[in-house]
Amino acid sequence: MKNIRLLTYLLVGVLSWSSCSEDYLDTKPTAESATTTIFETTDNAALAINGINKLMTMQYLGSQGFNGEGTIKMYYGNYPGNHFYVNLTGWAPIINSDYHENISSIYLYYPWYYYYMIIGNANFIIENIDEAKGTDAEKQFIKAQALTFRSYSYFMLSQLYCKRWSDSNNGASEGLVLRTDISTGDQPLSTLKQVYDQIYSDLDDAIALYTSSGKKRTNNYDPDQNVAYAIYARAAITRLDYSKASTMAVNARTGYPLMSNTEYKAGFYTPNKEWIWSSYGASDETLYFYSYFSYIAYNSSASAVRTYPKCISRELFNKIPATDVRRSLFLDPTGYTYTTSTGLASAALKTQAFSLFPKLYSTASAYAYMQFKIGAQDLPGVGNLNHFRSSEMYLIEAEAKQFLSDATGAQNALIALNKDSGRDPNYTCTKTGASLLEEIKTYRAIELWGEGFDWFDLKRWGDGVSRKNYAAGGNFVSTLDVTYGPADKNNWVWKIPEKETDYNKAIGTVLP
Amino acid sequence: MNPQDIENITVLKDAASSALYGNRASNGVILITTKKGKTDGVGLRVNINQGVYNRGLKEYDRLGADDYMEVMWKGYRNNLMTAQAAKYPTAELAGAEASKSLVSNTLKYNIYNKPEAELFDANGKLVAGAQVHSGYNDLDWYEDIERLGHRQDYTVSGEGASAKSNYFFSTGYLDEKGYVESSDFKRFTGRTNINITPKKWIKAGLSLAGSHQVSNNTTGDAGSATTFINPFYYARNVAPIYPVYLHDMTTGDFILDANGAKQFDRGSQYARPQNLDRHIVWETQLNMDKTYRNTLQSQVFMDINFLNDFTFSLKGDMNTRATERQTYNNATIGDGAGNSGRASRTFYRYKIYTLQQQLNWNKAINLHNVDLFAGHESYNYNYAYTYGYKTTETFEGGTELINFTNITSLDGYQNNYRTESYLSRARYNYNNKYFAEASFRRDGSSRFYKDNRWGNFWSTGASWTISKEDFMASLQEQVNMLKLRASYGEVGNDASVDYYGYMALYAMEQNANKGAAFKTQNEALDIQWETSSSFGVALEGTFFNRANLSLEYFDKRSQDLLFDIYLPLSAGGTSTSTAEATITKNLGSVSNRGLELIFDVDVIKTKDLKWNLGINATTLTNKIVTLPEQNRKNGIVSGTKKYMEGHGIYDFWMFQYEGVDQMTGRSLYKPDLEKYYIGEAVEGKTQFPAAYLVTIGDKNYSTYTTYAAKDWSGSAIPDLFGSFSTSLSYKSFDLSMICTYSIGGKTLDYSYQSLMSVSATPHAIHSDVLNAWDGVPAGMTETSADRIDPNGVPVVNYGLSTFNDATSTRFLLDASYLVVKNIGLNYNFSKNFTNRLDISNLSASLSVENLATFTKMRGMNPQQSYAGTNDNAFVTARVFSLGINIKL
Repeated sequence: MKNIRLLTYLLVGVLSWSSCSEDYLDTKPTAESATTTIFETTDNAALAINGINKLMTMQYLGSQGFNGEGTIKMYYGNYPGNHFYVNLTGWAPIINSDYHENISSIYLYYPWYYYYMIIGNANFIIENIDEAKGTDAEKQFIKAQALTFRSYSYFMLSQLYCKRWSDSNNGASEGLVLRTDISTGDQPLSTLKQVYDQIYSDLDDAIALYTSSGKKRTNNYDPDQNVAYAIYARAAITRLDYSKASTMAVNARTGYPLMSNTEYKAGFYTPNKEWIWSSYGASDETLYFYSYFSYIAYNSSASAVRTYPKCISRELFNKIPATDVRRSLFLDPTGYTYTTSTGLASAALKTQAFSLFPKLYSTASAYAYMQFKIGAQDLPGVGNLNHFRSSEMYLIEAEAKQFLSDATGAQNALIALNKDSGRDPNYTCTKTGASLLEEIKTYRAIELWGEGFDWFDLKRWGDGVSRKNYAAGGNFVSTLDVTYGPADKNNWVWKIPEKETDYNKAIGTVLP
Repeated sequence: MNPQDIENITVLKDAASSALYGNRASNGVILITTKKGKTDGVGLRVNINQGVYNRGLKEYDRLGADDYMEVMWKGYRNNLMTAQAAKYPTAELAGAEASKSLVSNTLKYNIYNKPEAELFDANGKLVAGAQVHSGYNDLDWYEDIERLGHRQDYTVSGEGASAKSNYFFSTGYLDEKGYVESSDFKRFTGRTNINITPKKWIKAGLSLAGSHQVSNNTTGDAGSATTFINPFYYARNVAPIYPVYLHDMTTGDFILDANGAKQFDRGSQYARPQNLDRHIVWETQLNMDKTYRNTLQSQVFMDINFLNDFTFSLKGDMNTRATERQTYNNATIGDGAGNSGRASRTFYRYKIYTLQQQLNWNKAINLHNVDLFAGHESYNYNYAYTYGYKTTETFEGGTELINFTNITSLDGYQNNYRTESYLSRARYNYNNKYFAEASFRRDGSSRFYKDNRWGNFWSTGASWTISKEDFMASLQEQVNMLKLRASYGEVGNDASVDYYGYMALYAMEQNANKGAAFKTQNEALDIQWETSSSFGVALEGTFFNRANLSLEYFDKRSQDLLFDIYLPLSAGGTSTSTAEATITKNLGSVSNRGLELIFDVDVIKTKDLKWNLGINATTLTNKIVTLPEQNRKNGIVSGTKKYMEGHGIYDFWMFQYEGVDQMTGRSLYKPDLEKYYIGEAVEGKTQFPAAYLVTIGDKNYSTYTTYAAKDWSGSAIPDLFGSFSTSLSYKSFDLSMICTYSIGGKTLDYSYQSLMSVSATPHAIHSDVLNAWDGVPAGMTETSADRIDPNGVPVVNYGLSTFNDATSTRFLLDASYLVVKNIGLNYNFSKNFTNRLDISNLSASLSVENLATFTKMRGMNPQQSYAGTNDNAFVTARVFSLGINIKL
């Protein structure tokens, strides 16, 4: 009995001892980082900037082809344009812009999802960076970068989901959900003017902060002051704000001279002196078959390229002068036969393609007018993805000056781009008025082919799509040889996705 | 766990008894008692089981090549007429273009004995004499991916007991080969239980169970319903004109390799527009996805009785599991081709331990029995993950990491999750006639922020054994047992929150070899325990020594439901794999209530012959009782469902399919008149676009779901479900059958939707498409009363498929089913026979599982998900097996 009593005391002791220590339930994540850690210091916050860089080039939605910014260029800029041909009749809904009102489609919500992810991250940085430990200069630089991302994203969203400026009644039409804080709830749509006001003020702030920070970036994939200028120039020309566009285009290209012909023919996958901004790509951070390059690079091993190489339209190709280096980057079928209904090359033309470009993947198909402008650094589609380069800035400058009635200025910009760069030593331009504008449009199409501008340019100009089959002088397959105007296809406006409107009950107030 | 080691399984239904198990009991408790040595000496058992498998559900009824060609022709022609009406104003012009370019533009393959431009007549019918080349005997991809499965199962167990100790051991081997290639499973198990009672006041025991498991996996779950490596996706959807092997299209003969063997067709030779460079059969053959798993479960306990009525128990258990997953993707075809081959190794290590200290006081005074209990428990879950991934193989087909030259990923992290609980319970009964009990517990979880971490939960229950009352004494013969019980109880639930659910988290990636962080989880400091409560009243009885009846009313509620709710996408996505922005919240409450009836009766009960019939039937109503204030008015849309007070969480909220417009063949949907106005302008609304508006009489319809209204569309929950069983024993034979059934409820069949959608990207088509609208029926006019055919199939048109075949109530199907779950025949050999063999027992059994499944739609598996969706995934296996049990 005595023993048992002893035991009892022992057990009571054990029971009271067994309670766990106070921090027993405090567990910490190791796979992710807590927000407090990210904004503890400016060094850590720089990881969040690099995180947005990453968001611009990563695999999304478990669906091949969704890779961040490259998808915007391919599916939204190239495919539905006038001068980009690929024998993909199964993709007719995208290529012919039939999904603008399909509010549940992945193609409709992807840009909304992608850019708002960037905006949300940028807003978090802007909200929290002031509290981080570090120098003011570091904080200013990081905040400027976050503002740059935000303005870029709102600008791209407005091009897709809002009316073209010329239809917008000076910006009074519907804009976007303009979040500039870390709110997550209901918020009505702003006007398009408010969107542009925000883009302008973000860029003004960013430029001021870049300047006051005195800091410079070390990598082409990070945003900096010139990137802010370049976004400004692109946004201003889209807003038909020509004097702003002209100034900003010149600012943006300062320090970024045009690339040489050798660089031009090097495949557009490594930054060169002309590149203002890009996304990083390397074999050890490959996106595999999701990547932009796996959809276009002529030497890619991906079936999306081997079986369906990307081609320039026959009409645009024919507009490139024989003396222009850019003409050599497409397969000229002159003197060869090919299946005219699809563009599929004959054996002889295919042999010619392989002899001109031996890096073409061994099992690749060849098509008349297929491109060799864009290549991949490694397989299946590794490469740095350009977003802004000086050529575009020259073209913006030319267009802006043309509209500002400065024909000489516009001509000079074209000459600088086409002749002085060496791209076409015989180039000259004396055109004025409407034919000058036509010349600018043509050279925009030639210079920026495949880089995701086609549809966006047609939209802001209020031009239509007119693709022709072989008989009519083009090279599009039937079902893709369509014609439609600026008022068709829901006025070229992608509707706001149901993934927004289902959960944002403040949307619905109708603006003109 | 080896099922042969199980002594019995108890499902704890009443809330009061579940309460002791805390948050791990939030979905109910299943108590599995493993075998112990019994006090009747020493025994040895041997069980041997052999079985074969095949597929238990038939495939959807899909078109063969001829019908397929004609449907695709029609879809092509009709598209030309609507998409390029100016160019193809007549059916003749469009038909001629379709005949000319269907194969070259869309199908790319011509497996027929006539040139591609000469296959069709002007109406899109295959011309006389057009036949698939006889060499194409490989158009059904299932044939190359399914097989006859095989199952073997062996168990040997031994036991023994003395007055002060007992022991049990078992060892087993299971080898299963599934009915799909490359799906198999091997398992070795061992278990031992030892219990001793050295003194009257102390008892102790140890139980140890271990296993070694090896499995080959084929991805085939509904979560991967559209991945190329899912055989049900690939084989179901591949168009019936694309062969498994490479053929010469001009002759239909196989193109053989240098060794004279058939070669798989990767699709690039003829630019197959579907699944190019993907090949389920070939990839399955060359790839590897293998998992090795070792488990060790141990439990120790010591009970000490003291001061007469007290028992102190110390219990500890530790479960460890080490899993290694090895994958290899070949360099020739499929996912690994872009990396010149690739291999990964993933190591998962789990360590879970629980420590419990319990104090019991048990006292009987006359007819009063009281027992009090108090305890403390700590639970600790540790998960460690390590992942390595290399690409670029050196030798073809080498699956070990050393065979690869490029390290692409090397990664690892840990997760820790802990809970701590204080628990107590009091029980009382009078003369085993009146029972009452109550419990209280307090749980803390690491998944919640420190201020909201602790939750309190209680339960209470009572029961009355009516049959023990004096006034029932005269009915002893008729009412053998009758009991009424009622209980209410709560337990906490934190399972629907991630381990660090309350924190704002950043994902860690890399860009340019530097750390890159982006937001993946929104902060949720205010989330707290979800409470699972359960209320039940039941009447249980046994009558005439023949019939058992149990009738129960239950109401199980989840309160403060933990839920990832969707934010507007503009709030910033929180996932890179799904386009969604979410935040975790406690969100109102949901009730599941219903009636459950269990009844069985011995229809015949003689010495030699016994026949029992049983039925089990449950009705269930799921209802959202409360939602937060801000969601009350509009509810919360979640995919094809909507959460709203008064409705269930499995209630579909979808576009309303009205039928096919017989004038145009277009699908018509109920228009959205909340957002859009028709006719006179309405403030705050947009004009309904005329292009998608169809007005019939005074009713309006939309041809595009973008402008259509969603509405309540029924529930995934059946009206009634359960099982019925029968068993017949005659002398040494036992024959039994169990069927499960479900009546009512709806399933959204994505597989069927996909098979019904005909677009320019070729894929398999359901035979129902043959009933598609094909021109205005005779006598039909704009004003005909039957202008809308609610059961119609819309016109086949590549370009209009987006409109006509959109996800809507059209694809909500009746989910009722009947499954012949099990039929078994058992024979016990006579004592005479077993005595001659010097064994104590011998029996043989024969059984079939999932013999037949009856559904409204062939191919659909209504049991696939509780939420009422069906997609491309493994279907149940039919298993025939033969077993022998020997007892020494």
